[in-house]
Amino acid sequence: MQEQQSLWVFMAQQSGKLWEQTMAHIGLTCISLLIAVVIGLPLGIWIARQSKAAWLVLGIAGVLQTIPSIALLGFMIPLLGIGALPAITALFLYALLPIIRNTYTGITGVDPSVTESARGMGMTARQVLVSVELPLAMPVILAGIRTATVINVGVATLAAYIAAGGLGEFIFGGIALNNTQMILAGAIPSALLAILLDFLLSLLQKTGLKRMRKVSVILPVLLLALSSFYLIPISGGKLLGGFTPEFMGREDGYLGLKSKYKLDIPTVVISDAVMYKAAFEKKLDVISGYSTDGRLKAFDLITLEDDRHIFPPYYAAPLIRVETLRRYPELQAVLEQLSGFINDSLMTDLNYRVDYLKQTPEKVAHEFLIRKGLYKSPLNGNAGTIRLGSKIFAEQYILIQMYKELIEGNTDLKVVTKTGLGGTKICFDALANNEIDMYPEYTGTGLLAILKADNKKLAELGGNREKVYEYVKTEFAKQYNLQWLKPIGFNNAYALMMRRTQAQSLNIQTITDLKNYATNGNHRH
Amino acid sequence: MIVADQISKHFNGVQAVKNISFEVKEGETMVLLGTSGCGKTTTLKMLNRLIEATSGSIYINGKSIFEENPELLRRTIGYVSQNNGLFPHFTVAENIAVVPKLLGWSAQNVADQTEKLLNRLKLPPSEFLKKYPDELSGGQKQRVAVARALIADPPVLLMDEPFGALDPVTRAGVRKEFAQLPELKKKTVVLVTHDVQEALELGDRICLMDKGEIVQQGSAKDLLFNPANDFVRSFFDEQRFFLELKNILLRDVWNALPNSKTTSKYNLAPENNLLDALEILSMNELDELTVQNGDEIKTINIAAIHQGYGRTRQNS
Ligand SMILES: Nc1ncnc2c1ncn2[C@@H]1O[C@H](COP(=O)(O)OP(=O)(O)O)[C@@H](O)[C@H]1O
Ligand SMILES: [Mg+2]
Repeated sequence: MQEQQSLWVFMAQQSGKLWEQTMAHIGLTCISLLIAVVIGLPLGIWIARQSKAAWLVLGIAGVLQTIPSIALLGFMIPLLGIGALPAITALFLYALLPIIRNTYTGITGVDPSVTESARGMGMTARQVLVSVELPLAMPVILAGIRTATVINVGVATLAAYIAAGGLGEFIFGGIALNNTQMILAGAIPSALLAILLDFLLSLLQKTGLKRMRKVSVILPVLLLALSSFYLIPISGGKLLGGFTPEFMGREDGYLGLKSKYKLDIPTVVISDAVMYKAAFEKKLDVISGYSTDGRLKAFDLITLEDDRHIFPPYYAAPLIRVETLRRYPELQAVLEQLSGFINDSLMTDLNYRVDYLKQTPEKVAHEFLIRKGLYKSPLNGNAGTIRLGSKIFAEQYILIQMYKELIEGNTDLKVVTKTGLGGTKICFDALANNEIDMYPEYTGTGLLAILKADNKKLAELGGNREKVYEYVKTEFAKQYNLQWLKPIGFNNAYALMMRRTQAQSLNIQTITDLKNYATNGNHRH
Repeated sequence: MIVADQISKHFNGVQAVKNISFEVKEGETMVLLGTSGCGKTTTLKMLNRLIEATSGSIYINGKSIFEENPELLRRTIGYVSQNNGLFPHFTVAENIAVVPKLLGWSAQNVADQTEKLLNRLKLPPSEFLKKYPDELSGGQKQRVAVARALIADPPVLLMDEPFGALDPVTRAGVRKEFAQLPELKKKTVVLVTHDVQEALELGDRICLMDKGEIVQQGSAKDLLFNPANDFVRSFFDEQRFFLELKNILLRDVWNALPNSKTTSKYNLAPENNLLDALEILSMNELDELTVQNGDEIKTINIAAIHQGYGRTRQNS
């Protein structure tokens, strides 16, 4: 009951956005459906006549159908960029198979003695098609359109990944933020939409053969009308922002940008996977990202200084079991050796080598230690075993590789690594349950994801690096018997990013600069 | 009216129809008879170009059909296809109106003609106009299909097994009605069937086909009593006696019958056949009955039937 009420409250609070997303969702679905009908129907009719081409066309459409939706959207981006065009194209490709196949099945399924007698009475091929074949095939064709509609309503949620809007903005934001109300606020309307559109089409389908001629008129008009709901987000200002669904819903994200900086620029929602590239290709101007992401370097982006400190610090530090430390006290000094050696841009560079230059984390870590004179050849490793864990991304792989070489070079301990333990929760649970001894964690994650600090606490800490570190250190020791060692030095926090060239030409270095440019800069151009 | 000269049809190397020729005179009903797969349908459809002949020439009313636009040609030829081919999404009225619409008739004209034709076919318009094909019985569907082919009053009518889908009892009834339709009297009809009795009953002339060729063409009598070869003979063997009796008219044996002064209770006409006479004699346990041709009255009995049957068979 509580859940329902708060969902209701959430939907009421966000009704503007909800309405906008629903309209965009209907629009996306219907535009792509309309195009799929306009292209799929003639194609289906054509292959019903050219049985030799049928297997080829159906085969191609079938293969398109089997491409996972995320992958298909991914293919679209290099070709069509981000936004409505690639989303509609991908949806259109998904809708194509059921429409072509059912048109083909419907037309070839018409009783040949009926079409033959139509021709025998002197109807032209066109008249036979329009007055006999299409009306008789219409129930089957409509069934195909229904299938396509339901598929499209579902896949359209993914449009949120590439800045095309729709209810996916809530759904993916909710998933990223672990906010059930937000997920439901997107998922329920999208499910209702699928049911509603399916129901409307089933009404058309049930009008019976007798009125099929009217259906062929009503359907396109209906689709056209629904399509017009989609108003492509217009970038009215000079700068377009593209933020992940997660960032959009966070106080230490978009909401903070609005409340603390009063930043107000046109914004689209987009997946982390394509955001950096989109910024590089000038589809977006401002994005939200992680400050040590290798793609910063790959796409020549710079981070804007968070001069009002809305993004909590995410300083990386080894998080280790107190028992382990007690048993092997020599570990502490070894693990803290990295401290002060890696700043943001160095970490970005190391990530870049792995993510973009495709070097192995082992190689990158090894070369780094040699460069810094930290490397020592392994000792005998017979004093015991240390288990190191990592989350599933390059930065963590590199770090634990460095720790492995440091431990084995400076102590008689042997190291086993358990890489790719998924997200925070899996790593943390593994550590707490004594399945690993240590993994690198970020102060902000400890604060927000594990300790789940409330707003009051956050305000008190005020995004201060030392205060946050001291707080998580104390609390982890108290609550979980885990020890935070000295931070390495880089801060992998949220940051706003821009293309280096654009930021320099506009003289934007801080978020406040950006805000000033966005509100006052109208007259510059 | 229809002349087919040396027409053939190959389907990817398979010769379905081999160099056949025939002629159908105006007002005549010609039947294409033969077992399934012998090429009847193919032959019929070549006449309205639903199938294009591979070679040969076809003239309708003196004009080569290959020089005409196929759609316009077909609008002047009534066509009843094998499984009636009614449009399931059209009402009876709409089905019948297909050709008139193509020809641009006024709605009023279509309505008037439809009503007239439906009445003639014993399908009361008030009841049937708005019905859909799936609400009709087999016999009713068949009659609507015939009405649809006849509505524009085409001089030529092509029918492919028009009664094939009906049960035997319905078939006999519909066939009889059909034979008596005044609309059909002046039409040139080509009718396809595999039913011997139907062929003999409806055909002025019969083309017996086998393996894509015409084995023999002529009247029912020619085929029964003067078979060109063993195939033709054996084709009718199963019902031979019955068919032969049916195809000897009382007129044919007229001269051999003794005169009579008065008519009896059962009085036949010269157009009746020996089977009719035999049937009435047997059913009513009579010794004889009379036949009347104008003022002339003759008697006929079992012996006369014997004699007539025997003589006809010998003569041929
Ligand atoms: N469209 C076609 N393609 C290939 N062969 C066909 C086609 N139509 C008919 N045939 C063949 O031609 C022969 C004659 O067929 P058809 O005229 O339909 O026979 P009928 O009507 O006497 O039963 C059959 O052997 C049939 O298989
Ligand atoms: Mg046939």
